[in-house]
Amino acid sequence: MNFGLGEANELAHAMLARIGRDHGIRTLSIKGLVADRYGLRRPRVAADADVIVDPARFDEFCRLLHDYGWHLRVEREVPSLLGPHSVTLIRDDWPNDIDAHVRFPGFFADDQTVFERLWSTRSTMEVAHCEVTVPSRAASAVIAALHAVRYTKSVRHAGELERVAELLIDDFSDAEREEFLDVACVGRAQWVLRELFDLVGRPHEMDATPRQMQLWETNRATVEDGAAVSWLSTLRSAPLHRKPAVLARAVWISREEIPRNDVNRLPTVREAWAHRMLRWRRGGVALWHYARWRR
Amino acid sequence: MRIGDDVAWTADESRVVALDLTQPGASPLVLESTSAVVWEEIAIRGPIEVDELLELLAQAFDVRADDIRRDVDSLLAELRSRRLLAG
Repeated sequence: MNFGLGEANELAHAMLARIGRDHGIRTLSIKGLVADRYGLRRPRVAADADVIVDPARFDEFCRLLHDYGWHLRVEREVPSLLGPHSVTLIRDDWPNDIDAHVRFPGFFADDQTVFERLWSTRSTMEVAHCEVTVPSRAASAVIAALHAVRYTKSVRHAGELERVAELLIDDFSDAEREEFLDVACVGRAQWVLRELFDLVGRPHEMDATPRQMQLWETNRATVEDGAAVSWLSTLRSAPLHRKPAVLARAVWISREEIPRNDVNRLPTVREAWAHRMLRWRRGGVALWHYARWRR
Repeated sequence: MRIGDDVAWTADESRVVALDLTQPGASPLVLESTSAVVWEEIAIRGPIEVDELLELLAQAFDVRADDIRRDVDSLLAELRSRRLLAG
């Protein structure tokens, strides 16, 4: 019998918390359901359950999820301007995904430092009649802001950033506001969240390197266009003798590598070509957008 | 009898989805309509004896307890087999 995304996400958060607790691995449920409960965004059903895991035991946690029947979708690793930050796991009889994060984009401090800061002011929520550990409201607001600011070309995310800004000014206590700023400082996210620092009248440090700033802005400008710009960036930075191989890898995708949920079902030749054509069309559009943005 | 300590569950007006967190491969169980009512009664009143539960359900559905005993026993057996009930 089917169960819905909302139900699945609640159960998944409870399950993730339980797996972590049983094995002594620290986890914090983040984003969707947690942001909704804290009133950090207008409630909507998320497609996945997000959890950030103690980086020191991230691989072990992912192996445990595998034991619980959650597996990676078949897809090849594609480059990302901001680097990999999570793995997406699926289970064939569940409608949602699990996004297990080792880091959260926008924090430029090292992963362990960020996790320890989030953990130090953790709280709990009752989800699916179970106790789930979550970051505090202020720390969750930092995560919500980092997520929203990454996609501010989208109306929905721009609205979510505005919502965090409103709460920061009108609803947060002084202590919560200070905690928000401290999480951003420790996580080296001041520059990324500089608009919010300005809003509360606090100076911000340039706590990202010029290269990190450039990658962040390029990612923000092209995030809706998928991986094409990341491939281009990888191609540019590759040594000359590696460029042909990188180019071939960027353009061509084998049947075995075509993304799919079912590991055992290879796409037909026709399906594979349809996927490639779609990918090339998307890539062309993305590179055209990128060229316009660069101008 | 009561809801197990290791069970995650969600409920709305006419539907419950429950999962045993101790079994790695367990799939959620969806309960609808009268089955969901049975679950909610156990959740609210547990620990509760089967006869007491039957009386409550008989009143709620305006039927005789003996008329629903077989169905309720069958549901409770399934919930126990999936380790969703304790006691």
